[in-house]
Amino acid sequence: MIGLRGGITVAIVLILCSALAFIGWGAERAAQRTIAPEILAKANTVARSAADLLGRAETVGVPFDRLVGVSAYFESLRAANPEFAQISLVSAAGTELASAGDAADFEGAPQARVPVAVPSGKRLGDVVIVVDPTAVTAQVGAVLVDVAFIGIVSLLVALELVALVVGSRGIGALMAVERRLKALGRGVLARHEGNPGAAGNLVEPIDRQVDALAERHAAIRAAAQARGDATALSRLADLETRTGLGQVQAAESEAAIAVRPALFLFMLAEELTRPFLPRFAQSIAGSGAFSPDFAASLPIVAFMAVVALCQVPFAGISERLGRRPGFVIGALLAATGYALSAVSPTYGLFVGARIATAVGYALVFVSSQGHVVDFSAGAARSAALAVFVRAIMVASLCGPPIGGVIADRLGAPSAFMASAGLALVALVVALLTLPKTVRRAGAAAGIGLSDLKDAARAPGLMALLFGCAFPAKFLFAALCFLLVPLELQRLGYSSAAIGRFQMIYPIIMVLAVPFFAAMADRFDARGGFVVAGALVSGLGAMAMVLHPSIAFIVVALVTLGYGQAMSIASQSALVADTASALGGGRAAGVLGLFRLVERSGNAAGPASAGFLMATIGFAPATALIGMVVVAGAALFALSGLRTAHHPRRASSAAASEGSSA
Amino acid sequence: MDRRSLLALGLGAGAAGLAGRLPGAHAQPSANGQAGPGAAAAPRSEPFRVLMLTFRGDTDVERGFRDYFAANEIKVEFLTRDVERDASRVKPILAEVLPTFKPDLIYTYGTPNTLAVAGPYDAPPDSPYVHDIPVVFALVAAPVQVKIAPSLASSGRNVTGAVHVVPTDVQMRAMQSYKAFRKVGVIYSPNERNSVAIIEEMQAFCAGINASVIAQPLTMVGSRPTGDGVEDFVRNLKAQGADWLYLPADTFLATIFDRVGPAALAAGLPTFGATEFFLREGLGLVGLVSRYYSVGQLAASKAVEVLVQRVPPRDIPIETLRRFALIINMNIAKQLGVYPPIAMLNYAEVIT
Amino acid sequence: MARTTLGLIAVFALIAAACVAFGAYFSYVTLLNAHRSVIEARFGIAAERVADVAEQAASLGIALPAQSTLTSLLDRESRVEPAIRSMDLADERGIVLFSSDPQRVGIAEAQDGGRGLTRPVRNDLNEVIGRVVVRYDPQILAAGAAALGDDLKVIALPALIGAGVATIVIGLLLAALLRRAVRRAADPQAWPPAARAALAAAESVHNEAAGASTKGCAPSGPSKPGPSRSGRRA
Repeated sequence: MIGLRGGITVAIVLILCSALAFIGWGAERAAQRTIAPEILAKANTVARSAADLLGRAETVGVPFDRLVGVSAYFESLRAANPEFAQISLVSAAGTELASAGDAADFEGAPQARVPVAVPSGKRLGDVVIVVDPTAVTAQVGAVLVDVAFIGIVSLLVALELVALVVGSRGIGALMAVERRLKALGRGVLARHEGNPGAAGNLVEPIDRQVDALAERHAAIRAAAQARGDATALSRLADLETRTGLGQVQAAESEAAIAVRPALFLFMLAEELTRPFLPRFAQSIAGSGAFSPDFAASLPIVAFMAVVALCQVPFAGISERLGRRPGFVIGALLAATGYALSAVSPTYGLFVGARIATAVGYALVFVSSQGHVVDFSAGAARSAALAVFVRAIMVASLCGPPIGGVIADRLGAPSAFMASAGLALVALVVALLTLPKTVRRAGAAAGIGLSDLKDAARAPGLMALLFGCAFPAKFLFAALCFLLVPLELQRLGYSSAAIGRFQMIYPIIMVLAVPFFAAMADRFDARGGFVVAGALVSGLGAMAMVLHPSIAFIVVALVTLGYGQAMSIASQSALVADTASALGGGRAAGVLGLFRLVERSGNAAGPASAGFLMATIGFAPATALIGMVVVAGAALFALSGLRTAHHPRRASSAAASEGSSA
Repeated sequence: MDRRSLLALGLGAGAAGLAGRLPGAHAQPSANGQAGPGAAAAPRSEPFRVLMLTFRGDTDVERGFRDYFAANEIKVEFLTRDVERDASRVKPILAEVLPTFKPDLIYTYGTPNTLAVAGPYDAPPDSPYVHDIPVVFALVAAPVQVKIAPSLASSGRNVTGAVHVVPTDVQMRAMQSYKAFRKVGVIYSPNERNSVAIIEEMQAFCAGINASVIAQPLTMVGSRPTGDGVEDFVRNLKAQGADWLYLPADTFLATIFDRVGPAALAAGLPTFGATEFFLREGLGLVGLVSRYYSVGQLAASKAVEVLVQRVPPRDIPIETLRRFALIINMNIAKQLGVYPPIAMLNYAEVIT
Repeated sequence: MARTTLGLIAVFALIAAACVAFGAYFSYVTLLNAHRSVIEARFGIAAERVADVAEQAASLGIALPAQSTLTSLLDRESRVEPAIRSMDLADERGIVLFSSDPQRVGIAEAQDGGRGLTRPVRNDLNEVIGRVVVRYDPQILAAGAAALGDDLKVIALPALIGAGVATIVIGLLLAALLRRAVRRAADPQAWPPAARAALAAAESVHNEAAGASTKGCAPSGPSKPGPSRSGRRA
């Protein structure tokens, strides 16, 4: 029995996949009809250009029959236009003088034929370009890959929306029914806690049965107790363990992941801005005092720096404010920032607006993370943090293409307004889904440097942060933001193609993070998963030296995705465990320190990679960074061996006892 | 394909391209000329005063120099004095002009003029050269070898300028794309340090593409080279299997181009020259050269940095152009039967 | 309850339809961009050729404003492609110096609002000294867009409706299944096997412990305990 929720998800996936596949098929036909003729037109233009050049050669005195390097020239044209199967020069008499490529397999393929003529009008021969019909298909195929990607994006958005609806209180009644049915399906006869609300009349007959059973059980148990019948008592206890009889099953705690829809929407708002932000910043800066590069990068750098710097202080602030108010204030601030970005007349104000957004972003991030950690513990924590990470990854996957299209069609200010709107929607969703704040007893006032120092002394923490967390982000940012795009650009890939390569990582993350998080929890081997993940991603990057090629770039991206997926949720959970074990303000300090170190890795990655690529080249730079990751993992593993005996066990235990189950 | 690919032949397009893409790398003065000048300093009502010391009258270099100011709408008052190919006239001209004209900057054409104005960098501080007025030179082939500057990165003093030589490896690559070679012959004056350095650069390049250099020094009489037997040298190079004859920017060699060119043509040996003069007057086949007009513009861009942006000359590197002109003498090509590859016609200037 | 279920199904149908619409629209935009890039690659070739000529002249010291022969070149190149409306050579400030359309000379190319395709013209110092701007007939794009739009509409509408209807049908099906499960859950006899086994085990233990057997409920052997989830409180 997959349950109602699973059923809904499977149904939505199936329906959308079929519908989107159908659209993909339609898109393919449309592309064939419109793009194929354009490619032939392009062949005509190229042929005309080549014929012009050949005519010029004759004009300046190169005899038509003594032309040099024509085949090489045609070869270069083919390299620039892979959709041409063959380019040849045919004399007026019909003999082939020079040719590049081979069109023997393409009988009847469309071709462009342009005469080579000199100013006097004499026709010397023809340039003939045969269009490769399979290349046209391939080009259409490339478009289809984009369309398929859009399909994935809409599917993911749909699933997030489904999660939003399913998580909302409106269908609490259905969930109450669902919970009871599931329990029966598993042979659990426990009573159910919580008010069934609207589902009362549906639930009542079930509850009556179970309640009657429970009452009978209690009576018999009391009687046995009064008799002092130890055998009966032990059998009854055994029964309780097996069937849950006599117990009350708490409404399944979903509090920890209640933040997911709000967080997803908020992150989506920021991700929308990615594709157009640099160019928009340049256009606002105009021809002012800044160079275009600087104008484009300043808002991004300022944003990242503010987010990194706010991690530590905001951990305490959000704890004091409460998670819900923290989220709401952050979202409001960010929404204001987006709106200001859309209308700001000057560059200075624009950067200011981005900084305001960054402050809001940091507050939302820290509050959401705090919420997840507050409401989960022990084994469930990795899974809850995986949901948290997943929401962010899905947003980063879906946001840029959507934002790009909005900016393209309606302009960047409208796209910023869309971000502001999304941030406000996230705010409303947070108000609806996040529980009212329980001010946590003993929540210390803000965290200071001393808290950080205390946090740094937590056993094994520094090894985790600098051995794994920092190198992981360092490798990710270096590879995805700088090394791979630049190398692919050098290899001649279009930015659309580069974008597709860049999607490898988030797609793998989205799919694999929940799986690995569950595995890590099941085997209770988070440290192991952290180390294994680092090794996988590090070795994948190091493999680049074997043979720097597109295949190995893909290998590096895939191993990066799997490696990070293996380690990321476990990392957060280990840190959160350490934090809970310390308690109070120092807990916030630990989390703040973790995100600070992580985000420093994000910032340091591209900067160092840029330097390395310029000095030692792409493959060695990638391999070197991979080695750093492997070395970090080794360091962490060694320190883990040393501290494994008491502190980590203790902290785990403390964590599970310290919070609500 | 086009002029851009010619640029890519040299200058390590990879590194240059990367540097250009990374934030913070701003090697070029300014992308479009308009943002550079006038943006930094306060507007200035009276024109700048520039003294121009030419060597053989007004050339394209000076034209490019002046046009650059005009195109950027920078007001300059020019005073031009020609030394009529005699650098010893620099001293009296300066003595006459400096007190009255009071230039903000001195422009010098060629090595002799530049040395006569600014002296070598290791001259004692009290030597009678110009120290307090910025000097911008154009058309100096080897400023380091002649001690105008200790390095191209900085002169370490009030001097900067534009070099007109095309980097040797860029020339070799252009030669290679015209017609691939295994052996390249070269004739040079062994007493010219600059030429010896070029031979070494050629050898380094050829080692990389598995080709060899046959270097033929000119006959020396005492410490001076002569043209004796240069026709035989050309024939010998051909006999040794040279595919090309390369003619470096060698001062003495330039005086006997009219003997080398015809000899090569007679021997059926294609020639590649480093100077435009050889292509136009010396029956050379092909050459990759700096346009004098553009060299003048490059010098002017340095002058603008000094005058408008107030950058001290020591902080402005001495540079060569980013793009060069490929010139093909089609008459020679016809006689040799060595025609350029068709793609080259996209970016070459063809002399017919 | 029924209202909740129906509302939920409606919401899901809307989500499905919205996502299909979203997918279709984005596919349309993607195809449009692909279409435009093929067209612009074609016009780019012409712009490139003019830029090359202008660069060669500039390196010979002929300042851009003085390259008056460019007018005829622009004219020639623009006539080769019927879809090209005009080809301009603008200086680095965007003022049109020469154009295949004489009316455009002297205007600021950036201000006429037309989206054109540009190629930079650089001098030997690698500075941008001007731009070649190709303005092409928007009709050629619009025609492609219309054709693509029509094609996709034909596909997207049925897909949209199909997805919505399928969601409603599957939703109703799920709801019916749920309702049936609830009905059965009210009657212990119809419980799922695991629950029945647990019940049987409970009754057998209870009967034994109570020491009284009023109902003839045969203990069904060593009952298989369902997968226990009670470890939490253990």
